[in-house]
Amino acid sequence: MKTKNLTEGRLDNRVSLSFRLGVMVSLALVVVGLALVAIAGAKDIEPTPPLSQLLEGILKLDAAAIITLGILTLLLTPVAQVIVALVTFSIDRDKLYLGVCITLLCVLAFSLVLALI
Amino acid sequence: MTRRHFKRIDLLLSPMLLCPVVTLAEVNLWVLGGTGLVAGLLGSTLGVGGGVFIVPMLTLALHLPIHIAIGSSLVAIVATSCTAAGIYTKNRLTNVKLGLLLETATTPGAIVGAFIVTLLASSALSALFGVILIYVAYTMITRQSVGAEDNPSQHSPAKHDNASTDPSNWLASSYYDQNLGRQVTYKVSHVPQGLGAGFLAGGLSSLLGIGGGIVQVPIMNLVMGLPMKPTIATSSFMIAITATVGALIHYYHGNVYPTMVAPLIIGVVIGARLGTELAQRARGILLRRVFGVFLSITAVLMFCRAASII
Repeated sequence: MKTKNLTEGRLDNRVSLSFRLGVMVSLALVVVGLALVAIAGAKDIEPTPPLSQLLEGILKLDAAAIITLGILTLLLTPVAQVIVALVTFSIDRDKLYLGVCITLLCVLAFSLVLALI
Repeated sequence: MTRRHFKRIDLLLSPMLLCPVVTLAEVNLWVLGGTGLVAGLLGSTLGVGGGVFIVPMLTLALHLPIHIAIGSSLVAIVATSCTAAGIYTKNRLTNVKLGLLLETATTPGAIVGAFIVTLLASSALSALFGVILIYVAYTMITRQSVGAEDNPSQHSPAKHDNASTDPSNWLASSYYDQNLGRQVTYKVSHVPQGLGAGFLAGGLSSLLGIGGGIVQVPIMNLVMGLPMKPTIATSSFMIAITATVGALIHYYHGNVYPTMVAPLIIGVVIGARLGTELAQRARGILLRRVFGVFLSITAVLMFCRAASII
């Protein structure tokens, strides 16, 4: 651990913290949602509600909406890592890895757009 | 893209084709949670997603429609890899720079693979991949030493200090090995070959519908010379990014069912926490051999798929 340089250590700390934070928030929402399902009793299993109805569902304490928010938090956590790394490399003026992060974000956005159209 | 391709995508993605309505009373949430726990344990210990285990379990044991199984599996894979990557990175096992660099090759490979999927006979490809997996599994099980983890003579902090000024070692790193009780320094070799192999790995994962970890772990360990523990940690970090794209696509197409996925996520997070503890305490060579056995089982599944048995 001691031999890792300061920049690497800082990067590791930030990436690790945001991973753990993302998983913790997501898990908390999923547990609350599942508890609400248990209270409400068994019903049909339905897909995730549309994003436009998500906020309304959360305010009404709808179990599916709360779990969906947890799932979305989880799915956005890895993307957040790339952004955290990008900010860290930008502060450290590491042009090579700044380029790697920008390329990766572009590739991810491209593959997502390609798959959805 | 051919009509057959669209048909396959429709079958996979369209919730309209679903099936009988599934009620929560019909699905045993404890079995879902247990499935997640085993998948999380397996995935985080070996640096793979665990989809190889989750999808058959959900379709064969719980009789869920395939598109729900795949959508749920991808979310569970993201949960496994995020949990594992968070812990591994905190303990300085993940080579974040290498992971980011390899991802730039793996993701375009996956896009290309998705486009050429209809041009190749999937059964022949599965059989060929099965043969390659057997060879890689044999190499991983029989090879005595890879990198510095099993060879104390390679441990030299001075080497790492020099590495920071040597452009050829810019991905070199170090970690504390709990099993060996000492700091292990390692270099990353054959980076261009690793990037090329990463591109192929991404393509293969699209062509065969397998997770990237099965291909990435042998590449990083056998080709690039990373010790097994940073390999597993870096693979988990990479899978988190790769699987997210697939999971978001399935989410968009309405294939993620929140109340079905919830127990899976809880099980996976618990399993992944246990798995990371196991992996950090185990000997590198043992992890490599267990991974070899896992590859052999996957190879058998590939042969079964080639023969249309599953």
